Amino acid sequence: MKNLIELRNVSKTFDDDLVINDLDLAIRKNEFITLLGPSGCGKTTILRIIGGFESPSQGQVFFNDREISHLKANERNINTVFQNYALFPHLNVYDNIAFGLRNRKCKEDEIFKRVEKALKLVKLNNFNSRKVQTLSGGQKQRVAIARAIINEPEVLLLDEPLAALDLKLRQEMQYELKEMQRKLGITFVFVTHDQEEALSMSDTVVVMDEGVIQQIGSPESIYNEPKNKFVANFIGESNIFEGKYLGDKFVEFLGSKFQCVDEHFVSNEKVNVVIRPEDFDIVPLEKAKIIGEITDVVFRGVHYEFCFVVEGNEYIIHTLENLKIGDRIGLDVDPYEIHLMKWEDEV
Amino acid sequence: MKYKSFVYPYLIWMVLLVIIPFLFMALLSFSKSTGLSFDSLEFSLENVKKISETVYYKAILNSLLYGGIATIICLLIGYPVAYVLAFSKFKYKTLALVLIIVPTWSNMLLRIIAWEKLFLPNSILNSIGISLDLIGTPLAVIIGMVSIYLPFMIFPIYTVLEKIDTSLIEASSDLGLTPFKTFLKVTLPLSTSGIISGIIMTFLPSATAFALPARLSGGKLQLIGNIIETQFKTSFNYNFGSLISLVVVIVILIMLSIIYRVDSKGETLL
Repeated sequence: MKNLIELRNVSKTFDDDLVINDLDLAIRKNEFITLLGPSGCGKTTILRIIGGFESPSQGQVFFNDREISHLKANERNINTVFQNYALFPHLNVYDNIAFGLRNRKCKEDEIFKRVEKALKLVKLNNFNSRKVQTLSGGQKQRVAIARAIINEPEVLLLDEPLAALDLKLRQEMQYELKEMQRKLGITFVFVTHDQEEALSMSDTVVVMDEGVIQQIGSPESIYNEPKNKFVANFIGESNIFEGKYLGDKFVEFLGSKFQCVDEHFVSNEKVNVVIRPEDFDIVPLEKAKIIGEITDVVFRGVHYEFCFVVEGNEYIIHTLENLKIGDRIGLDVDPYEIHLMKWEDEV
Repeated sequence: MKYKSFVYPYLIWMVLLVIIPFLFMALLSFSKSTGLSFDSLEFSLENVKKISETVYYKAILNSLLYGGIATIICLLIGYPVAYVLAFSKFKYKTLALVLIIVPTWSNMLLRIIAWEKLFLPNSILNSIGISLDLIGTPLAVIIGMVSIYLPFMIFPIYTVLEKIDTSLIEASSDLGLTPFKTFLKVTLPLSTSGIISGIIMTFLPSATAFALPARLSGGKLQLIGNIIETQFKTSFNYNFGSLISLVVVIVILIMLSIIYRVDSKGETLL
């Protein structure tokens, strides 16, 4: 599919502080793409560069193959939902939403129709004359979305829009946003530090750290095949083992030999082995390849989280079985649950 | 409330020095008396009629005119200054703010006399070949008023502008408005409370000034403050003086109530 937005060799420095480091990114039409990373990783800066609020120190931004690096925010057909909503306090809900259309010299009856439609889409019928100060966080959020989408942008930028909402509302909004994106057929660029949000909403996830893209891919590939330790640890929970690739789809770690599915390594290459806590199988001790002792238990609702110690190192497993502290357990792992990554030295 | 009793000294102070004198003034305004003696006090509306005499009527008009012009000029200079201070990333912003506020700490009379000396035909400026000779002109009075009351315009506006969330400006730009339109549709409406406070804070003192017009007009210009001064200090007509003062006090109270309406938390006041 065609690229709608392209960032080429983009760098950004603030007062000698390198925030974005020579970054390339392509965003396709109608894609729900999420920039995910810890705070300070540069994800918001990328969004602001696309929106036109910051200009890149180096590199170019393209929109439909046209360079837009020099264009101001008001000259781009892109709209933003700001983190703190940025609703105009001197205007009511209706006038906030109509703000962009009024500037385009739309007729008032046309504006009225479109505002009504936008309010319906965000489920805020009959809120027209409400003052924005009297709205709840979730309602402000909806007004901010309505105000942005009424202009029919080709791209909607969302800067941590759900961060200020409580858990239940946040989950609800996740579905609604995804739904809206499908209905409207516009590209969403979403910024968040919440990995669960990123996994459940996006078509593509861009994991960032220290101004560099660590991995781009579908939510499944990001979760199942992390490229490096940072991604493995940031997305979900991971147990990372030092291992050695033996060749012919076999890997050795914790003193045992395991069959695996990865094969892009040379024999006797040092590797990092990633196993998700939910991917261990508890087996009788005599059949086990890993034997450890339970040292801690946390009840997590759907499952228990256990700490188990093997050879002095702590690892985590998730299981439905109720084990007790001090139990000795045997574990095995299926080949397709074992993911190998290139070896990284500790920093 | 634990500290309620601390309010009483202030309350006594207010009653003794504000409320009681004010009631005396009201009493004097609508009566005839000999000086401040209450022996021969009798009710009279003579003062109310006197206010329509040309001299006084003209003084009131002059007050409005000079106060109005000074306020407009202060707004035209003050808003851009406040805007630049609030939004620029100027390194010495605090220093600039201090430089604006420092003159207000020095005695106003001294500053008026300083202008007076500069405006005389023979002044220190002769040494660099300039002779202003402005004393007695309306310009001298206006320059004096603007220079003295400008900070009272700048600060309320600066305070509201400074509080405007920059993401609102970005949101407006995001929705397609040019910087100038953003100013008209977002920044200006959000700073109206500061503008209203600024207008009142410069208009009130300049319209009621008496030392400033007296000295910079060379005694030619009479504003309402000068009339009050004359009534109390030269004519000894306390009754008429009180009435005009009462009118001024009522105007001030009305204006303060306007400030209170647009800015109930007093955020725009120094």
